[in-house]
Amino acid sequence: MKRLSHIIFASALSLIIPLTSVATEQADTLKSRGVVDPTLSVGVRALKILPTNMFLRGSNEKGERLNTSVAPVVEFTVRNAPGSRYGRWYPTAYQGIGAGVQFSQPGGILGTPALLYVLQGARLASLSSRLSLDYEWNFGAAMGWKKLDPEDPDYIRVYDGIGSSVTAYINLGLYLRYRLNSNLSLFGAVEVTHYSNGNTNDPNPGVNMLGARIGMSYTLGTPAGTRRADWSDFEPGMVYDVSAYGAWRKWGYYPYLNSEYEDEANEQCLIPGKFAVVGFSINPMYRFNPIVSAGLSLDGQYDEGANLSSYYVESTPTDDPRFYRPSFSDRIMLGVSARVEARMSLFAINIGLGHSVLAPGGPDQRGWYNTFSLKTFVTDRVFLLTGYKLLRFQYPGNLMLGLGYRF
Amino acid sequence: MLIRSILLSLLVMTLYSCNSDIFVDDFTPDVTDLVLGGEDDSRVIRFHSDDWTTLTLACGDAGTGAVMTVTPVGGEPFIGKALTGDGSIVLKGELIDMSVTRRGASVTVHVNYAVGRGDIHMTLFASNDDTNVSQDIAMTISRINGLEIESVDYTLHSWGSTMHKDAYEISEFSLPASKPSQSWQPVLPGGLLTFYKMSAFSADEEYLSALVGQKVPVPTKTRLDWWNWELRGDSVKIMRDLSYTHLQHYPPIPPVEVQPGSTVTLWNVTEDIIFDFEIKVKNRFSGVSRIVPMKLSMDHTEEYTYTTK
Repeated sequence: MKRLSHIIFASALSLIIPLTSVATEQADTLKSRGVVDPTLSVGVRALKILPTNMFLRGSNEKGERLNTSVAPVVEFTVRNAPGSRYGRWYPTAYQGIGAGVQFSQPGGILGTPALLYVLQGARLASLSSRLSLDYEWNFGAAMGWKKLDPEDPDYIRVYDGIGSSVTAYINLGLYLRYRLNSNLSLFGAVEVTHYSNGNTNDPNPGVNMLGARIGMSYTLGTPAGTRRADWSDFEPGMVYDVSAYGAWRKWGYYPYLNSEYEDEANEQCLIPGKFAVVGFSINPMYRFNPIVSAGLSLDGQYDEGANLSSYYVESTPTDDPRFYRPSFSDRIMLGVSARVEARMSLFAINIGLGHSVLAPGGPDQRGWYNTFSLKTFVTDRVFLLTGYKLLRFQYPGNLMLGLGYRF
Repeated sequence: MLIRSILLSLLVMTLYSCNSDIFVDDFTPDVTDLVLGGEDDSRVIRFHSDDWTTLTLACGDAGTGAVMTVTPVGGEPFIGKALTGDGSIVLKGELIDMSVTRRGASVTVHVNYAVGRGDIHMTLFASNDDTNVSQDIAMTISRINGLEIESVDYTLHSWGSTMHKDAYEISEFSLPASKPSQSWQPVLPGGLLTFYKMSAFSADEEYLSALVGQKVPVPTKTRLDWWNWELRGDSVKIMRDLSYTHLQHYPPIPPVEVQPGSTVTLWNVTEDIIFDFEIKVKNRFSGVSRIVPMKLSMDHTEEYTYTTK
């Protein structure tokens, strides 16, 4: 578990570091360097916990339904300097880091995780001279969920809550921001939040919340003022993103796959330990404007734990199974996906829908898949990749933590 | 520097995630039935992988004095039948000398010699103690005749008898009524038919079996009294079951006067005589000699009778 927290923490840090260093030194090659409008925000989130699984509905140690959650948060953000390229292309965009603590009611069931995240937002519309409609996403780690010890003889899987003491934290909100003066603003937001261990541990039920946020922001110094986007120096054209990633994940298997009884054949057991996943994508895209790109991607992945059911050694116990080692070809897949990408300053959110074209090992890697990736550009060409892959629209896939290069 | 650190972290993370403990390799052998000759024969069994722990040689009865010695590579020999890891199992007895040697994914079975009659059956078990998966290889060794008879020593003065008597028809002669009476002297060109069998103590049964088919001398008598036993040149093949031979040395058959119009039948009235004897045999592979005590049970003539009709 310590390993998981270290890696997620390192991932979060690796997303934060570019905000302060790269934005000021590398990404901006035009006439003005640096960032402006350092802003401190405090707020509180009030959330309804959606009862999407048995644990949240009351099958927990206390036998109580989880209802609400409250999270005070503090955020620090900056904008790109007006004369910089990012400042001209994305004039309302802001990015920064945030921290908070998540309390839930009733207490003592979910734990009280600390939140550490990066965030980005931008204006969707100006509703008046003082009022604007913004979006903002948060992405980071939630650390400190209550986790039961699977080695404990009294361990009950369904009571194990979210399955990990550290999970990913994903949040998207729509903000109404009202400027009291040039430095001080009030904001209110509606937002959705998702916590998940990305199938890196078991169980992985995930927690979803729906709620609101209120708070205020104070900008230090004299604000740079609002500007219109200037895309005059942007040239549409092809870009080629090549990325590689790795991750780990949990797998289940069907020990009685060949049973003549349907119930038995469908009985799934958990495989102890975690499996390595590595993959790549070669993704040519046409960049229509500084924000929107689209294209196709050739995706390849090696999954150490894919398609193991047919390799189960039947003489071994189902809770401590052994598997005959599958061949390399049984563990790989190649697929082709359509990709759409929204770029905003240092970040790009890339969404893909694809289908396998080569998966000789079996059903685990065949069929449709979705990818959700966040690219954080640490230079003009090099980006960090943080993503998740979903199989056949419903089955948990794997994290994608890697690095990419834009040609 | 940052990128290099990230790449290194990703690599370490991915490698650390490998769940190698749960994987085993298939170790199916390329053969499941093996037939070997009884003299200087070898076979190599190739397994699909070396992901198995124990090699066991199972043999119901390996024969007189057979001892199985296991010698792991780098370890001390011990008496047993299960080898863990690489090494060898040697089965050595008076009539067998063979070895099974494991090196990784291959096992070599070598038969130096396996003396005896018929086949000897063994089974090799290659097993993974972690998964309890076992691969069985049935082995058949065709034993050969590797014993040389050096001497046969009868104790002629201490013969015994079961007191069991039988009468066998030897020959028949008919004289037509038109002919005058005459004396009939039966002539047996093939010798006198007699039945015999041999046995050995249970500990020496395998030697008796191994010697089946080889010829040994048998005592005969040429007078109808009890003390006339000698080795006169008759011999029989060693057999475990009841067999027969035609003795060339036996008491003379008296002539009989046959009347016209009658048929005379000659009967051999026999008694089952038992002799103790010892065969000294040498294993031609090991050069070791052994004296095998045996018993010969054989019908010998007590008297001849004639019946007329």
